[in-house]
Amino acid sequence: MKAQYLKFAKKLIILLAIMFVVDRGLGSIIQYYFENEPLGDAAAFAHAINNPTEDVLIYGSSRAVHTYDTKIITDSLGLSAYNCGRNGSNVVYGSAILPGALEGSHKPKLIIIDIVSKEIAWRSNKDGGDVLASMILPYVLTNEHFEELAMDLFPKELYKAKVSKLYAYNSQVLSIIRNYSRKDNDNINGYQPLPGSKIINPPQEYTADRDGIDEFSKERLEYFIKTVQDNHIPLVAVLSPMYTKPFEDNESIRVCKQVFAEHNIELWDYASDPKYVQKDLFYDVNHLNTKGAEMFTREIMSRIKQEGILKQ
Amino acid sequence: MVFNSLIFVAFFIIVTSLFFILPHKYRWGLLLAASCYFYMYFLPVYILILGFTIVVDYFAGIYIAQSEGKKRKLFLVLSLIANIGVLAFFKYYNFLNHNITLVLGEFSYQNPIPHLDILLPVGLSFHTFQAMSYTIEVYRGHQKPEKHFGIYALYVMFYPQLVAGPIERPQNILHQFYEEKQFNYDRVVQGLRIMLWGFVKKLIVADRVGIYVDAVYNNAHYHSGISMMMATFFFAFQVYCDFSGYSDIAIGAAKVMGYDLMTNFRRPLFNSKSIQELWQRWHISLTTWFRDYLYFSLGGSRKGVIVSLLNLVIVFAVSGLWHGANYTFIIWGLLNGLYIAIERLLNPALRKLHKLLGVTSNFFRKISVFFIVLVTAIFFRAANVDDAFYIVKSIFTIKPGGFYKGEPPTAFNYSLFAVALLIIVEHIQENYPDFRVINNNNVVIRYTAYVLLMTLLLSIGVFNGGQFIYFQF
Repeated sequence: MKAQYLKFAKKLIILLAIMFVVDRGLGSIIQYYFENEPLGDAAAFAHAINNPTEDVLIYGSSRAVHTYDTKIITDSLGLSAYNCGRNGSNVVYGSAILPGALEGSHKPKLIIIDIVSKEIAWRSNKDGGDVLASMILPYVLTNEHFEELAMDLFPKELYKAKVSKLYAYNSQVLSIIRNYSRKDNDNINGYQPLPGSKIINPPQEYTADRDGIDEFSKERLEYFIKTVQDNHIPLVAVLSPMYTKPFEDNESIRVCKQVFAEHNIELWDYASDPKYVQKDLFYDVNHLNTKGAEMFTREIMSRIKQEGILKQ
Repeated sequence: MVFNSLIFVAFFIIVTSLFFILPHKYRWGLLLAASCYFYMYFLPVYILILGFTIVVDYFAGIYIAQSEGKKRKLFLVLSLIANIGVLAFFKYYNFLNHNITLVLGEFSYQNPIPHLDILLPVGLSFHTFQAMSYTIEVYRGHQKPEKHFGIYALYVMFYPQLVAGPIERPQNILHQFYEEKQFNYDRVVQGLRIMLWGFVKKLIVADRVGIYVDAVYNNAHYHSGISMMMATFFFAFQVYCDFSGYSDIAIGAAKVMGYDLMTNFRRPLFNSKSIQELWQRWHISLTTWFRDYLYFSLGGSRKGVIVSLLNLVIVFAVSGLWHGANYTFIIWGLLNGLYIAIERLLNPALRKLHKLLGVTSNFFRKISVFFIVLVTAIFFRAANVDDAFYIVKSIFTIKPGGFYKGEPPTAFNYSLFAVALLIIVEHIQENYPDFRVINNNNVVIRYTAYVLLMTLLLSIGVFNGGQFIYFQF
């Protein structure tokens, strides 16, 4: 029987050794291509993470990504702009990438943060936590802010990513192939327009989620605001339009407004602004389409100018 | 504890190592303690429920064997009442109470029975059925009563199959706990291979396609008929790979230690040529349980065609209810019962049709069975009956709207890849059994297959610790 144990141990060690070499080798190849993507999401995220040098920076979720047209911002304000938003993210992600924008000698002149209705209830939704982990893991090996964040939020995931490089780049291969093979760029300084509309039904009731407030997300929101203010950068907070019937603030929105108010910032609430609740302005219930985004970006720019925010 | 977690990996290594280190006489104790820990990892207090039914059935088995006539039957009935009572209370109390409220409400009466916030113990239906199979088999004289309390407790609690089966029979597993197991290299490797494939099914297929399915089914009103069709197609693979993946991991983990659990799935999707065959390939341990203990008890096919068909429908309806206290499951069970009854009635005509179709017959039969699986799957997955009918209507009327490709869009391609991988591998396993990859005699091919599967797991597996669907049953 001892011979059987030894045979098993020997073969297991050989298999693990091969797997280690394959993991490091393939993982390094994926890492190289991931970090050097010429076009597409990863390239945009990499820019947003690694010291974006534009004057106006926008943070938020997919609603930010598809709403704030950077070209219109540049035309309106005469300042360069970059949309640092990311699909499926919330302020936890935004607060992790914010230091990258403040590290160099060039400081942004304006920061816009787009809040979603579940902004600080978001992480209490387990799926949300998984999405955040999958966003952060590819950067934990190279970015210390993300490593710290992962240590706070998903220490086990961080350890797994350190053990296996393939795991750190889990689910990235197809998007890398896609981004290397594409010829056109639908990403205009981080802004991704959504042409057309998938809306069929009239606006529905907003079903307020019953998630409690996620204290960690709330802390990160406070950190975000404080960091921006400590750097003397004007901050505009917006709740952009949703394709829904008018609704009362849920707890997340209520607490967000309170946190902003404590820092003397008004949350510009367009959530159910009747002027935007039209089929032809939305791509789906959560995202404005190209036409809606253009109209909304213009309104925000005009309000920024009207309120003299850039002069503060 | 779920199989797809790091804690399970550590647990498995420690328990298996200790199992082979310890002398045979202590192994049952180790496995029982490990099984208790495994179960208590979910919610410790529920071990008491398990303990209660174990004590009742242990003594019931002994008393049944010692008694005769009506007394014998009485002990069986008492054991069944205890098991079904626990199951009914935890699983069906609120469902029944809700329905009483609805009925009384129709007559403007208030229901005085309170709603209880009960959390369903994990895998309750599985271990209850396994426990019942023991007392029934003792009553039928097919199994001697187990005198060793620890071994009996282990029969119910053996950790690999404790929370999601396979639902074992005492004749198959009890005697194995008395056999002295040796470390056998071939057996250990075979078990690990089965586990590896189980993880592939769960993490690469089930949890991957599950992301798309959840996105569509949880927001059905916002999605088009085509998207719902796609989600239903994926769900068939999700539920199959989730459950058969669990069974594979359970069977593999047991095999590593030298125990043989019964086969639970035999590649039912795209290989079943009739609904009957589908149920001979799908969740075999449950199907045979219902056949042996309910269908035959109702008279099986001995009382004529009509009664036999009616029995089938009843058995499947009960099977639906076994899956969950929701009308969706009952409809799912009824639909399966009706399909199988209709199939039996139409058998002579179907045989002629198959002859007409010639060599293409098998293809059409497999496709039509798969289509039927999809229709029933809608009821299995939908949150409630209204949603289920809405989805059926949306699919058959091809509700307009764009095609949802998932978020991010590449996620959809991973799902397609995962399903294609499964179909190809299962097609080869079914039709070319001599074509070996993971168990090839050539070491290079074998190791390449191991490394490829592990690379796929690490690079496209979904590691969110998602629960197995069947845990809720």
